[in-house]
Amino acid sequence: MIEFINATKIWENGAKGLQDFSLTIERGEFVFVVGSSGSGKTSLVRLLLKEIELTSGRIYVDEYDLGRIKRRHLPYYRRKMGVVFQDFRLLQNKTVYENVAFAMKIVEATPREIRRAVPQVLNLVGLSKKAKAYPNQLSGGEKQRTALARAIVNRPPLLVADEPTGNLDPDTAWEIMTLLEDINDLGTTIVMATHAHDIVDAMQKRVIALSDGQLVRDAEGGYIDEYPDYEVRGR
Amino acid sequence: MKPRTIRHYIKEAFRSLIVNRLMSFASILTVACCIFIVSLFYLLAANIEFFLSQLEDNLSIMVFIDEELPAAQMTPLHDRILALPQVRNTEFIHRDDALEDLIISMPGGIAGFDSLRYNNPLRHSFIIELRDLRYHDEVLAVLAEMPEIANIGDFSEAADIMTNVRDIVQVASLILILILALISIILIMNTIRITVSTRQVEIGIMKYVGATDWFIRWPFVIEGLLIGFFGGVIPAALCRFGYERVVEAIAGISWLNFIEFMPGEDIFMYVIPLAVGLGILIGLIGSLVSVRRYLKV
Repeated sequence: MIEFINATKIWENGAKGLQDFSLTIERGEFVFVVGSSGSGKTSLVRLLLKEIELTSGRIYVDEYDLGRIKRRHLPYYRRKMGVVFQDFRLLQNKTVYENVAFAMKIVEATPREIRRAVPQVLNLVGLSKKAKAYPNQLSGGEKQRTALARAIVNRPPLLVADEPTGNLDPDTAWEIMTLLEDINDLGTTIVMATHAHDIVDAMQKRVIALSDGQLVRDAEGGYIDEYPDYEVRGR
Repeated sequence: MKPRTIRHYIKEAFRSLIVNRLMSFASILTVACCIFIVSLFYLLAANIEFFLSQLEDNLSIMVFIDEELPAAQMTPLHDRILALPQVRNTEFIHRDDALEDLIISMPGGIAGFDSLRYNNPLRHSFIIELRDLRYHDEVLAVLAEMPEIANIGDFSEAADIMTNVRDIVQVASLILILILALISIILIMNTIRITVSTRQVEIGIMKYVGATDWFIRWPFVIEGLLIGFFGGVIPAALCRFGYERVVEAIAGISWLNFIEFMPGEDIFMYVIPLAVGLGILIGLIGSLVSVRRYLKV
């Protein structure tokens, strides 16, 4: 589903985002991307979103070659994935229901489809009772659940989450993780960049560890159990 | 584009106008003020030109016909002068009529001039109205070549002054209107840019969710169009209703009542569509240019 081939991203100031990074993620996987600040996690996410360009190498997501994707095709590529950010990025002037419905309007879903799908997905994330609330009336966890609902309402095959629990207390963070696991069980591939050691350790999924833009570990299991050197740098 | 998508764009535009009502109001006010100033200036310039053209109509060339010219030659001469492309109209004045007019216009009345009726010293004449004062010299040159004409009543100096004044007014008003329009566009684009920049985050989110550029742009374009429309209608209406009042007020001032104003219907036939059209155009350009910056996510 996702393939990085010798992907390199060098920023204009010379900083290295990714260096000769190669990786394959299969459909239906749940993958954590870990590493300290500046390790390249965010570069990886932004490259997947096609928010930034590669310096060299290739990235494929399904049939899309991200280096060759035309600007006018970009929205259609982005519709193939749901995105969740640490800062939620909800439309402040729209209710929970409208924020989720907005993602469907963009793909020109019929009003009937919207009326059917939005309550379902709000029910899935446990926000049925908050449908009419505006983002400023929600707790952090509720905001992130709204963002999750928006990300999955069009049933994308891929969900990219950038520090989705970063702004949440531990209990709420676990609620979100449970939801992500449920979504993954439904067949959605999940790529999640995170700092949360406890979550990574507990979930026992595939972990991609980055340091200075390079892949330093790719294994099932906890955060840093096999790389004590990395542990020192990462923490 | 599906009808429900169009409905979505229009709904979003109105919603955004209302939600961001303070910015919308500021934008409409800016557009309205600028177009109001441009319209006022246009009204002023158009009226100055109208006033000058009224004055010009009173300036005509008078030619006196040679006494020897047989009466039968008078009509062909009249037709030849009228056939000149620069000439709008030619009026024949019989020497007897001219004398009558002269006698009547004398302060002392007819006494003392009565004898002239038996020995009229005046010549037949033509009053020649020009299509434009600019042709004055050309026409004079042609008339001077005509042997039937004995004398030409010249008003070169007045014609030159009038032509110069009108040229200055035309050029100055064009330059000023252009400058004002340019300032308006810059002001309005800035206002709309601020409106759009407050929604930069919103645009970014739309892009991440997979919205096409036009899906994002349309509501802004419609919003810009609405702002421009209201910003054009308000000054147009103000000018329309204010104009008659000002004209009435000036007509009431005795030392100013020699000024003739353009009739409201004539001038507003252009001013209203111009103000509204300019508003819409500025709103459209402003929103398109401003959104463009934030679409590159």
